[in-house]
Amino acid sequence: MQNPPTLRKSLLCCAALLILFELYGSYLAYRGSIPAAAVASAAGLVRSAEQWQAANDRLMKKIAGQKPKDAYLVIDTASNRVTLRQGDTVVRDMLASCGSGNVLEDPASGRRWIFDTPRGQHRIQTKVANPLWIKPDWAFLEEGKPIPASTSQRAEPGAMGDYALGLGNGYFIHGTLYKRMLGRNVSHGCVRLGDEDLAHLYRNVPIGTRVFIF
Amino acid sequence: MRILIFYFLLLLGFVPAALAGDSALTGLQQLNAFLQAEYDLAKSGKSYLLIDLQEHQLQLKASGLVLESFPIDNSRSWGQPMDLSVASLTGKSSLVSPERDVHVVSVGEQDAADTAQTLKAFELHDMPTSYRLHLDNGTEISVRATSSHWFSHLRNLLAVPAWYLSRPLISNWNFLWGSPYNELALSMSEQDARKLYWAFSEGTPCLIRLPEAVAALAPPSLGTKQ
Repeated sequence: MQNPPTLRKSLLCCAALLILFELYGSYLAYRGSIPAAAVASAAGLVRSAEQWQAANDRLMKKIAGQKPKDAYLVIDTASNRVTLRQGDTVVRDMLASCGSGNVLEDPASGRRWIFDTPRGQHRIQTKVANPLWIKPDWAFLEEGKPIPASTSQRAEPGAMGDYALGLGNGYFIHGTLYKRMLGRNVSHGCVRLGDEDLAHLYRNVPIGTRVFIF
Repeated sequence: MRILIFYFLLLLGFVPAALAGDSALTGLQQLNAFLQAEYDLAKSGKSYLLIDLQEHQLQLKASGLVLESFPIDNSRSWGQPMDLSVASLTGKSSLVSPERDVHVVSVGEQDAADTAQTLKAFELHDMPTSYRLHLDNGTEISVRATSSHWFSHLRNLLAVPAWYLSRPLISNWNFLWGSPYNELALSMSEQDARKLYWAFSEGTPCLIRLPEAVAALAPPSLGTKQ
């Protein structure tokens, strides 16, 4: 067994080594940093505080200029809410059902579907009253039924409610028979709304309206 | 013992000294670069995430519109997490990753079809509250939910010194493998942590505005435009 002074020295050496590692790690993390002011000066951008403030104000205005001028829709797929907004004002807040996120696989054909509501920026492309749902292949697979060859055998009236607003690529904002499920993620990617909310959107949202989905 | 205390004080003093700002203009210049980068993102039409550590909030935006805000309760940064350039989310990792429900069905398989129609959704409460976000410039963002429970306070209290003591060692380790280590640690409410995991999807561009004390040390790639 080591005598106390030797043990103490060993511990101090270990501690010193650890601290050296800590210091070198800190140096590694921040080396190469140079003050921002020096960078701006090197770039020939020597400005007074007022000039910087004016430039910043201009940029803020340019960013604000990108916002939609007309009414737009924001769809929150996590909270299952659709809001119709005009500027920063919420005109109508609606409960919805968005994509379930489930996956359906058909080993026979090798196809796979992910039932997510598509995120990003879209536009209302079509508006249809009394829409007819043309059931896609996955709907037949889910029901355990054979996939029909003709389109007429796929048509199902009433399933989409009174109106449908098309977002493109087969995604719609439409009604639902399962109103108790509003507020839950249960759809196959479309956005389901209650009857009154859907009618309000159909009447008040023109084709071309921007739709932000997140 | 006195030597140990001296080393410890030296260590504590090192990072703050390195971060000291040198100009009153720095804040305005940083804001200019941040706004320019945001303007480019707003023009792109894509959704993007702004992590504004000066205002203590994250904002999911598109075309300059704030789609959702997430207040930050606390934040720490290590290294040079982003340099006002845009990076994209490449992945997320957590101890228990949420998994989608996968149904395998074939024509005529009524049993499988019944299973597919049972209600099982991938919803907000399935999202983790503690996870890491990996950006394509190598920056790591760790997100942790805060709670009002005393145990959570105690854990957070102990986590701070542990974090600052462990990061230099990780930097050393990464240096051995030729890659710098930059990390941002954020804590927010449980609901916001879940929602951020949900809303911040892979490929989404991200921009970080560091607190002024850290921003005073801008990396060389800082751009300033009108």
